[in-house]
Amino acid sequence: MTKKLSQEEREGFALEALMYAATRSQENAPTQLSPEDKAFLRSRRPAFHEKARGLIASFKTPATVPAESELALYRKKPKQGLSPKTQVNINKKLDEIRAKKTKKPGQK
Amino acid sequence: MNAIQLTALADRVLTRHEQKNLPINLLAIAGREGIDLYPDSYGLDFLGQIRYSGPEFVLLYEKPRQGLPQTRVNFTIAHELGHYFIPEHNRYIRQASRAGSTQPFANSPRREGEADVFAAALLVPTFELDKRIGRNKGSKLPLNEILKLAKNCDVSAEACVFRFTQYWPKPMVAIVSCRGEILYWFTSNGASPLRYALSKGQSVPDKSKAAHLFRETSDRIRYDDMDGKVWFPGKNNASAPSQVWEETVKLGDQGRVLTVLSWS
Repeated sequence: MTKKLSQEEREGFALEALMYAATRSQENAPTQLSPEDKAFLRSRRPAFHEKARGLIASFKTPATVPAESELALYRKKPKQGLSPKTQVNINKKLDEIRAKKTKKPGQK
Repeated sequence: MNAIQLTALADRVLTRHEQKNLPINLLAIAGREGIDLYPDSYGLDFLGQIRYSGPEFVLLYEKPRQGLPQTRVNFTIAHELGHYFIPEHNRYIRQASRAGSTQPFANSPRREGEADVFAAALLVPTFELDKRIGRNKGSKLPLNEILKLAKNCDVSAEACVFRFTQYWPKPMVAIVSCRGEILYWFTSNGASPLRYALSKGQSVPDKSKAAHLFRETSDRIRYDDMDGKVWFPGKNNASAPSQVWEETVKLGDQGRVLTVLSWS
């Protein structure tokens, strides 16, 4: 059986976990908190907030990339492929670029 | 890569290219990396693409036009730069270009998502968010300040709010609706239990400030305290807050409304 941590120890651990995330030295630190620790943090929010103000301010981002649904705005439209006309325009441009790069000096 | 690493990567890119002022000069970053830029009118269904055309990378992107504002173009360029700077994507583009692939990332929502997170962090830099939060004594920026930040960074309001929810550790949900129907939403880390509390196409609650805003002509921000159950009803939302602070603003004239809910 694992020893239950005291409140002080848990708070210390939570701060440490946030510190890890803030310094980005451990990528999944915030998600490693147990549900019990999370509940503890929630219950102690005002006191915790005071103590960890600086750390929280430097804790920038959640540990996971948002779910796909949340990013619908930024998803490129042509998931199934670009229209033939657009693809032709792109290929034309790429051919121009390639031709420009392979041109020998002095060649028109 | 996770969001922390992607943000750290964007921070490092900004430092490396001495980008200390807003808006971030994406063309300068691309230029210093030796990426050739080709803005043009490729087609209405095109936004941008980065390819390896040895020995350099080339970035093709759609020029601003009606329906495609500069802010959207900026996000596209930053997104494509993400594919260049994220090491795994960079390798992938080189391989795909050699293999003659026409759309290297078309079937990879994960890579597209990573490039989006990188783009938002590049355009709305951590140093600026730190500065503004500091000025606001550590509190969340109100919606009007987020909109000002979007303007200063030359990004859309949606992109800026998305970045802010990535940055802000406390509970916050940002919702974009169109004519009273939810299109998509972003949750901060502090609101992650509510990540799936809303659904696409769901009606905006009738009692909310957002419900009728799209019919109005004013683009003034509306705000009010709101019962949390108005936005998050039902037994499945046990973690819903009892009270939320709702800030809502109309975006453009196509019926889109941006709503930010926050609580402590």
